[in-house]
Amino acid sequence: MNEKILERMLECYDSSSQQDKDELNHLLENHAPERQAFIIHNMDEEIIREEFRLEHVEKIFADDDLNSESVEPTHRASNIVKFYPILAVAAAIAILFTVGIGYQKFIQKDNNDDSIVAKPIADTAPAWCAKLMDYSSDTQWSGELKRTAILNPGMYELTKGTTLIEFSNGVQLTVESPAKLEIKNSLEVILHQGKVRANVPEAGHGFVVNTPDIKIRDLGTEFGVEVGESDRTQVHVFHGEIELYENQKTIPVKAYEGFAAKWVSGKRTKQMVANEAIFATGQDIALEQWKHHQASLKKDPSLLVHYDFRGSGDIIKNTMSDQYSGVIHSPIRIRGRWLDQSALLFDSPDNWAEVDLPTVEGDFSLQTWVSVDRLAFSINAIMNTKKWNPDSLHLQLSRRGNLHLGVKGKNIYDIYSKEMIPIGKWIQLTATYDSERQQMSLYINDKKVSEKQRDIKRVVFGKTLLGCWIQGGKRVRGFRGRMDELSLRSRCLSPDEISASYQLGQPAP
Amino acid sequence: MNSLEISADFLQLLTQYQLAIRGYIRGAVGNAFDADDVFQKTNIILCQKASQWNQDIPFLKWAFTVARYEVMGHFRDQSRDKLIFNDTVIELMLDDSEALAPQMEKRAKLLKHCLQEVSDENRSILEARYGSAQTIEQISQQVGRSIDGVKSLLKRVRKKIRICITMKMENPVL
Repeated sequence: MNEKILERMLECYDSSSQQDKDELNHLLENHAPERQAFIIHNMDEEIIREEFRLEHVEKIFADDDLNSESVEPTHRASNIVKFYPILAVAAAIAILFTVGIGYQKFIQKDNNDDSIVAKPIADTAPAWCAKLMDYSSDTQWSGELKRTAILNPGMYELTKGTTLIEFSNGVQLTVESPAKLEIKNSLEVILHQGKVRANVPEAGHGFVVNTPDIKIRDLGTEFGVEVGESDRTQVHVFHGEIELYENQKTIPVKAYEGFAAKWVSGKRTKQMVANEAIFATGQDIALEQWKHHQASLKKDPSLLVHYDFRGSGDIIKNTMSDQYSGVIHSPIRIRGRWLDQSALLFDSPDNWAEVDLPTVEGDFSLQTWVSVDRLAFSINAIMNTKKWNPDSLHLQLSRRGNLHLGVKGKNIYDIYSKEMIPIGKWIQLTATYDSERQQMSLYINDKKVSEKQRDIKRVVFGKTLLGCWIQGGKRVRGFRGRMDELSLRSRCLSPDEISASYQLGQPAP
Repeated sequence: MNSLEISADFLQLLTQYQLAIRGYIRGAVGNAFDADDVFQKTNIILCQKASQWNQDIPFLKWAFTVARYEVMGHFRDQSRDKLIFNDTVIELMLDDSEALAPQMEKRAKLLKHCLQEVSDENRSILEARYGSAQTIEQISQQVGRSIDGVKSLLKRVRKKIRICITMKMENPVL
């Protein structure tokens, strides 16, 4: 093997001139031993990359182990290295499930034979690339696009407003108009114009935003990209790190939290400090949509009471009228679903509240948002009428997390959900009564979880306790978590209305 | 309803031959970043086609055939100005890669020995380049060398490693 020919091949490979390309092809075609050495050179580089990548991962995990007081740091790190090829295969399988349409399955070992059979998680598993999460009325697209449309690969143009797109792998993209966005697949988009803010969860690592100037590859982060007119791109890294591929280069530059820069016609012209304020967040959009929805709800004459728990002091105000206010004992107001302080925290036996609610005849809907920290009691009290007389109502959670609605009529009418509520997540709870169908129903988020036919004439709320119940002068039940908003209506909300309220009310990450 | 069936044997072989498949693709494609993409796609296709494989079919040969189509597809999809190899060379590179890729496992083991012959300073440059994926510019600033100086140093170290591995392959007693 002639070492000089090999060296010339490598030089030509690194060159961008057509003459060198032609020479490279000529050499590769006519010098078999050197061609094989050229291939081995590339393979060896791959081995070296792999070796140092593994060392790098091993070092990170060993450092983490030391920091986390693990007893056997090197053992854990070496296990990670040992299982690296398995991770590569697992990644491929994971991609099949997250990206491949029709493969939303999981692997399950069949005990009868050696085969591993993938079975569907659920028949309703999403078979989509991306979805528009836009419930507002002030966005406009150049084509016909429904507000909750499934977005297949293709070009989309947002002409007005700000919107949110969620990909099947959980990546959320906030898009500000005017924007031209081309979706390639659930891991890659091209931003031709406009602003996007990407929030990338673990399942979406590797998500790529291409612009006319550069390519940005996520490594687990939140970042903003703006493409202006005449090939101007700005990138701002808010959390984590990204890889930047500049000038068509194949080897990336890493950029970390706080980094920002500007490119013009593919060339980096300015380095800056990341500015979060210039990119709308999913929270901003969600809050605007919720406010919009709230404003329309308040025109509903059936809405008797609505507490948003805002303000200070120990008074809870009904936002619908001066009647039916309440009081918080040992008040703790903390951040709710949105950035402002609007939730009540129930963290100790001292934290409870008392409201005064009207009597409802026939139909009613009771709705609240809660985030449960722990199920610390046999019965966890969300809201209970102070007395347990005829026509009283209790809305509670079992120790296992089943939702329970009890109404005392001729008998005690109880309904329970089989489903258990998730811990540490904001959930919408709704209890309704349809007097015409004599039907009590319970919903967790937008899903009906229980219903039964019961003859309820009325519910006399009166003094109602939030976060506890008093029996024999003692507070016997409690609640550990947060409550954000509570409303009572004199009509039965439809499943569609409950779904809309959930979709618009859930906070963005 | 679609159903993805992957046998335990298939998964074991796919895991075992990851390095060889990776080497085959890298050898033929040349560019590391492109090779990563093709490698990922190949793994996905292999999993999708898992039901077509049985124990009578030599796994690695079958996997290389699948990878070959992915490599050809990669070159076909590349824009003309980015294309480096002509069709004849692509075919030759694929054939040679197929013959050479099974060495990958052994070369990877020998690399550990050969790295012991690399000085600490050069090893830290390799680590910066391949471990933490730093650019040549960043490395040059860190080590106080020119960009060309870092490039030629990396070239020399890699050549030294290649020769060391090849010699150990040919003379296991070395």
